[in-house]
Amino acid sequence: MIESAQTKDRIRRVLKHVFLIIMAFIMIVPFAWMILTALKTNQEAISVNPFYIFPHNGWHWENFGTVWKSYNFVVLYKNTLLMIFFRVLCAVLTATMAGYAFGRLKFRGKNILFALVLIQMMVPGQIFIIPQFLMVSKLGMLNTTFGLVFPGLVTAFGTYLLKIGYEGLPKELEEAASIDGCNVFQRFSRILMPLTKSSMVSLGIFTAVFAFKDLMWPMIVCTNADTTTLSAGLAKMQGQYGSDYPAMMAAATLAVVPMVVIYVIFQKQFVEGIATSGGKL
Amino acid sequence: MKEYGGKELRKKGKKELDKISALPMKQRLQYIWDYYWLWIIGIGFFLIFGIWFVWRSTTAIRENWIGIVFPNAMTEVGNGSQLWEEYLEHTGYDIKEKNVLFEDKLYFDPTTASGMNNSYYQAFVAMIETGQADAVTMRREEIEALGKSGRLIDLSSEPCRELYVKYRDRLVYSIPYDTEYSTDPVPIGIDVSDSILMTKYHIYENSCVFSIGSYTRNLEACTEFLDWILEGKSGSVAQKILEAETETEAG
Repeated sequence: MIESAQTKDRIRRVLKHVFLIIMAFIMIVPFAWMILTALKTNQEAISVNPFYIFPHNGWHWENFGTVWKSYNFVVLYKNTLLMIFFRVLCAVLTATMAGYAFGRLKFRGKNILFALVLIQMMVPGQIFIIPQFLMVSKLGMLNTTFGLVFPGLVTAFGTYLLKIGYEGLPKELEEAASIDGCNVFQRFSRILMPLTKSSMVSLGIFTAVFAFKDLMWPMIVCTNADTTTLSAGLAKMQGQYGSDYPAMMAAATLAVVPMVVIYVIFQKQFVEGIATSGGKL
Repeated sequence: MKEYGGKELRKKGKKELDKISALPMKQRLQYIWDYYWLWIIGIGFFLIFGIWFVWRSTTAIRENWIGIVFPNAMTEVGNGSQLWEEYLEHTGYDIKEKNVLFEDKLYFDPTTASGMNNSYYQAFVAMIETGQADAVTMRREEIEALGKSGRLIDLSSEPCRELYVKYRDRLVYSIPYDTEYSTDPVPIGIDVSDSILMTKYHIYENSCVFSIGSYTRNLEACTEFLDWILEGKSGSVAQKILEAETETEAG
């Protein structure tokens, strides 16, 4: 009886592992394909033979050098990282303050204002593109880092996430701080804000990933090659190297490097972030 | 509840000053940094940002002499390309005063719904609707499809009367989706398949049509560009290239 239960358990565990290995394989294949294609010749890359996985005519590392030279990757990395840094900074800063106000303070029109925030989350982001572009253009901020950061200065999702975070904290903490002589800003900055660290980290991760993936905005707002980001630079490369798949894949491999580095550094926070917000990246 | 007002702040400031006044300079600076580093960095950042923002807002070039998009172009005709340089030389536009924007890195197919379902098309729409792009060149069937949306100017309208008359044998028509506007074909483009865009720069295969965006602010510049590409008034750069090509062929 016990033996059969153990066998069943073992079979279940083996099946679970097999399933997970298959899923992991499915997730890894596109990345492996990208890296292997980057090291092939164009002829090998467009070969229809599905078993032609590894380069047969040597590993063509020079493909990386070619795209590195033809596109200024140092500038693309710099622009992307600056955009991510400032978007995360602005999003966390504004969302944490707005979240505190909506979550803990009582003021007239709070519900109406929060409804406006929610409405912003419900409409597709594309409809804001033209007004935002006009604003950036009128300010003379086209082809600047500020122009890239502009749509991320405030975040409705972040405000919502942080509001929930602040609402979940016990009222007694704030009351105790008031009795000890803290004013509103001190209660916010010294008592409650540190307790919403996990929500802030989640928001930071979400903002970073979405900023990295953002394609349309950098394409519109930064038409100069020296002010654009990795995503837009890569998209433009697609046209230039439309038929040169190894070059395109080499560029794509170079483009994912910053995100891989960020993931390796903040792996724990990434997992916690998904658990906290219940979202997918 | 204790709140900060101006009086409170002054009181606190005085208290802090009293505290550090007895300290030697090095320790004084150390104290300020230890307790107020975040404020120093924050205020410093906003000061620098504020100065840069004002400088940029007042000195940036906001307007375009002309903005043209070349979606699906097969050769480089963007800013810095030979076409761009040649055009600048021909017009004598000062790019320190206003921009000349040639955008050739957009790829979409307006003839199918799926071909427009991408960021390139959305970027194109944003550029046309904000007036950042004044004109567009594409293959004939692509312009015909694009013209249905109403984003391309009706060449039979009053502001384009001159163009309509001058190039009436080159007009390309499209029936708009908006049946209230018209149920008949509307002229939305001018066939420039025999222009330098095709004969010299080979930017498309088979056909090339030039259209003006409905939200353009530079109709005159668009007309001049059209005249230039069709009448082949190429500048000295183009002349040199053509001469070099001829010499190579002869050699």
